[in-house]
Amino acid sequence: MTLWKKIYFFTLIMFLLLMNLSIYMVFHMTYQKDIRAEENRTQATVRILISTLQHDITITAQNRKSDKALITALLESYEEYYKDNHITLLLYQSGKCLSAASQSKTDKTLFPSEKEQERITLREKDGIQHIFYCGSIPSLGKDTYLLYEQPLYELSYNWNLLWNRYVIMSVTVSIFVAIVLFLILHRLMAPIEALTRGVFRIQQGNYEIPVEVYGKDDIAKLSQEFNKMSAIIQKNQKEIEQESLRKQQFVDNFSHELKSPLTSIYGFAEYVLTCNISEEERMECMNFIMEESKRMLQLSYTLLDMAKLRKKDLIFTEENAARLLNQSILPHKRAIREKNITLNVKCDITHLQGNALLLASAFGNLISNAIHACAPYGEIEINLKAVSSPARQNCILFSCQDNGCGIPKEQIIHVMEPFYRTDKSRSRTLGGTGLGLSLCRSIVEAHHGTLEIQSEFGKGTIASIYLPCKITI
Amino acid sequence: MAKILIVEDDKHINELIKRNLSLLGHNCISCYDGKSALKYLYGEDYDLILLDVMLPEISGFELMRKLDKETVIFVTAKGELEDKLQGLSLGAQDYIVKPFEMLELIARVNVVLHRQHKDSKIFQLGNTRVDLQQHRVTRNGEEVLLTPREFRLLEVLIQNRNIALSREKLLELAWGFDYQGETKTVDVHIQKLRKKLNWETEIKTIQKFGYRLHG
Repeated sequence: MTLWKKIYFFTLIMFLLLMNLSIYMVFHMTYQKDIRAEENRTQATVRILISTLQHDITITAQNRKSDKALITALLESYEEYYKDNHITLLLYQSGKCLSAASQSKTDKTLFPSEKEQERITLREKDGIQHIFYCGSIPSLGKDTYLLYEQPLYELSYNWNLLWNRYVIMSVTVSIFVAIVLFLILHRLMAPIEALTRGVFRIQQGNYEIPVEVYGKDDIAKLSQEFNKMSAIIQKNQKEIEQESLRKQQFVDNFSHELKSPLTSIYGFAEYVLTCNISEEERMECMNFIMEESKRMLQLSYTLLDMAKLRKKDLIFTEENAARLLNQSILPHKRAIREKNITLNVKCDITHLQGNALLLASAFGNLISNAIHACAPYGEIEINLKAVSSPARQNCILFSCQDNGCGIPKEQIIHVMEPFYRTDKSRSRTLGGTGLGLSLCRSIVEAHHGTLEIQSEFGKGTIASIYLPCKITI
Repeated sequence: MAKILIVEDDKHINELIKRNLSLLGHNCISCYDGKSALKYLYGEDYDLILLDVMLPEISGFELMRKLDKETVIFVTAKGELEDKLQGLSLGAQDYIVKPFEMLELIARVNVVLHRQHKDSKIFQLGNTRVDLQQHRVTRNGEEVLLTPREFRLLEVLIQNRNIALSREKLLELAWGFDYQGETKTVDVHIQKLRKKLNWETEIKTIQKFGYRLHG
């Protein structure tokens, strides 16, 4: 059973119980008071009656002998009087009833005991409360009693009416309260149920629909915070998924880079071993195996370099800027010439601090990328200068700009990821393994600098390395 | 002897496949990307196309969609189930995942060519002629009688000619996987073939390995 149903039932039962209990007690007490009043009234009345009777008998007896008939005759005159009020007067002597009217059996319990002089009893007959007064009249003789019986019509009638009204009212109020309490509690519990539904939705992985917020109370606040929390969870979930995708992509790319040379090496070795071929062809195949092996070695060196960079602190030396640039460009001179690329080099600084080998490698990588991107007769511009801006204080900037094929906008953020290649076929002819920029970034970061790529697909790319410098030029 | 187009952008692997298939007497043409493949296919008919999936500019699958009624085997590093299903549902005859063994590639190529009825039924070496369909061997016009097992062994040698086959491999291919016997039986049958066909030099013994048919 839910919380609010529990609250509902307990509250309802408590209320009904208390209400009915208190009303009943009030009724009871009032009724008792009424009855007591009746008893007192009856007592007073009958006492007077008895004393009057005794007085009458005494006076009459002075003139005549006491006579049973006389007594009953006297009584009858009173009876007539009281008949209108439905009061019955009966005279008993030694257990026998002297009045002619009564035919019914005598009820001994109505009579007082030895010690009492009178007894008042209440009996219910046919739904009406009857009050009995039985008092002794010693002067009339031994064991003489007067039994006074009055049906309390008014009392009974009033009380029955009251009782009926009470029942009706109680039932009506109970139903009303039951309904109203139900509605109120339901309304109050609605936010909690909304929250429960919200939790359920999150479990299913549905982060889209927020929990409805009712009003401004503490439950509303809880719902708001819950919504914020689920937004955070959703974001984290997405990040985790993306991270997982990235890792998978990395593994796929890496394994491709390994599989390809291995396939060649294995294949050619098998070919040489098992096939009927000339010595010349055998040598040719061995060369292929060497080339592929070198590729794999290169790959592993690059990966090792990247791993090393993460661990060691580099030793920086002061380098001649112009010489460093030359060292960077030299390995690529042939490619530049073969593609008829125009190369413009501008160097505005004399020295810079860093690790010569690594910087040459980093610069060289950017140059190589530019060459690959360019079409024949393309242009590459290399700049090495000092810059200072509010965002970057005292930096040395190495920039390499080409007018080649560029990088599509959505891929620019990924190009520095290890093994990422814009060419989805990972073609050897069009590019390398995809580690170049990744290594470049590692080198730049080891120099406490930043690597930035700006590109427009179809127009060209600008690759910039910012290195913080401590000495002035 | 089939005309085979090899579409693979890795030059070395392309070369490897070309050389192996050439040993079997097939005529192989290499190309390195999708666009040139289309150009080659436009003018001429090929008995078989070996197609890589990861090609620059246009993927193997896209290329497949542009082809019609060509016999294609996919040869690619993309080995996931979805890739295989896609390749096969596009109508390829087979799907081989890199890295693979040459013998496997050759076996699959042979099966596909046989299925398409493009394999050569006759093998001729010197004055010996082997009819693979009718299971007849003639030497100088005269029939040479071979037992079914001997013929099967001969067939295996021919289908993998110029490539060394180990004794175990010969046993597997000619006798089947269930065979529980020793490789000695291979030596015995090779001897018999050599004698019957007078192919002492044609069937070469590869030391500590197996045999190879030169032809």
